[in-house]
Amino acid sequence: MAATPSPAELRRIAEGQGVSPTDQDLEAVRAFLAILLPAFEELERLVPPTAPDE
Amino acid sequence: MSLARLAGALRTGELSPREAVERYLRRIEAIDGQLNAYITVRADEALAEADSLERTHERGPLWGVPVALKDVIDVAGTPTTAASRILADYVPERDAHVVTRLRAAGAIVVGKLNLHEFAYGALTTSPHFGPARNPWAPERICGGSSGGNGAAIAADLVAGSVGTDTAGSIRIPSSYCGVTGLRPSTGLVSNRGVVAVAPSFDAVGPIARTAMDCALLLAAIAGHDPGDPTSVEAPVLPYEELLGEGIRGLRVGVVTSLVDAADPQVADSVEKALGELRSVGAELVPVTVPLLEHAGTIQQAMQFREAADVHMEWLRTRLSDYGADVRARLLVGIFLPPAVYEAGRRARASVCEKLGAMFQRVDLLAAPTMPVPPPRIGTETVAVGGRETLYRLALIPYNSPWSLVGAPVVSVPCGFVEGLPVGLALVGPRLGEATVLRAAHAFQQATDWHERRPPLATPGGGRAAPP
Repeated sequence: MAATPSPAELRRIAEGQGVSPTDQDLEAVRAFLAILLPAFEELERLVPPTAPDE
Repeated sequence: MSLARLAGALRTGELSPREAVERYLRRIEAIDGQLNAYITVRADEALAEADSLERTHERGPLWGVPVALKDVIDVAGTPTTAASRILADYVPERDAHVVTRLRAAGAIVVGKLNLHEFAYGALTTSPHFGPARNPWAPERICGGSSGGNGAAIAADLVAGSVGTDTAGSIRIPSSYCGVTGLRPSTGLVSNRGVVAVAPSFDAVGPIARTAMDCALLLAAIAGHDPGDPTSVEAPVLPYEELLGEGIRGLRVGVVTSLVDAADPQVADSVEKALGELRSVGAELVPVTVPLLEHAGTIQQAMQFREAADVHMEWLRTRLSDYGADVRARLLVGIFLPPAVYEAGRRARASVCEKLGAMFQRVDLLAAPTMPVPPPRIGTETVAVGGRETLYRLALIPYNSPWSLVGAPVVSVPCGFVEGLPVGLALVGPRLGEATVLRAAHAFQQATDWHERRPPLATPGGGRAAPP
């Protein structure tokens, strides 16, 4: 199961898109991601991508 | 007085448009200080529009009827704040498409209503404009995001209103404020001139007293708009004329998992309401909705990204101007990889297919609109099934499934738990508004929950009589 990204990793991704969140913002985001990421992993298993030739 | 009755009184000359506007303005002045339902009151403009209407010969179905709009819907020359700091000074130059339609039907916009900041949350507790308070219990939330609509209709501060719904934002405040609200099929009503949340889910729709009122409003605002890429070409029916056909033989699928998981007193109210539907001719059948437990995840997989895309420029330049909850929710979207969105899109298609098949077997689905009564302002958790759950998570299974498939849903008042309103959700197949409203109307002909009003006194201790 994917671990919730660290604040440093999140900051790198945000800044790559021109967004500069505070440390508090990133903690709030991590709280969301801790719930969401496992659910999204399950979703990707539920509806796997179809191969182009299928 | 319901919108339908008011429209009738205006047509017969029992009341003039100016008198109707003046009476609501007096009521807003007397009561809204307790509720904070309105962000902007267009007193002078509404009175001038009323006078202008009296000089016209054409009289549309909403001639002279005062309406109010969630403050994400543009009215030329009036601020659209979205209850945000970012748009606090934004004054649109053009009316939203729905406002053009309302004006063509003869309606008068008396004001703009409070909401959850940027319509992205279900509390209506904007840190910039303050919370809208529930007329039934002012220490409790109205729900959201169209919370001001729910409060204004419940407290008779306007005859009808138009809100928006991405993941429950019409249904939740309708349930929590004891009024009737319809989320139409996605694309039936234009989103042009309306601040977006997540474009593939956004729907504009009415909140009013009754299903008849919603039918009149929907008939006025629905219709294809070539200027909105999400708009669909579909016939606009004379919904109000179809309400009287009754529901004998209508097959209603009861989503038992949602009834069973609700607060026992809410479930009890809903079960009694289902009994009423049966007594007026509906056939009830228990159903299991496929993928229901995944619906929230599927919507979130798409909605977080779409909302972040809408706000990307402000996330770069105005991040600190968002309230903390909305800021966090918007930021989540920028961290999700494209594969998550694609998985959501595939799963959504699967849900649409499966629910489409279910609607071959039943005409409507029924469930509680919300699993719990409105919580107190400032409360983050609610008790569901004996467990404390985050409020924002508790509402998802009751609302996301229907948003996902773009289905019409009406919430009708169906009882009270400790003095707080309970709503019954009736869900139809895509573009099945006529059936949904017909069932809601039949229910309201047999019950009086929609006629109950909160005991809201004016600051002077008396009451400002509603028109």
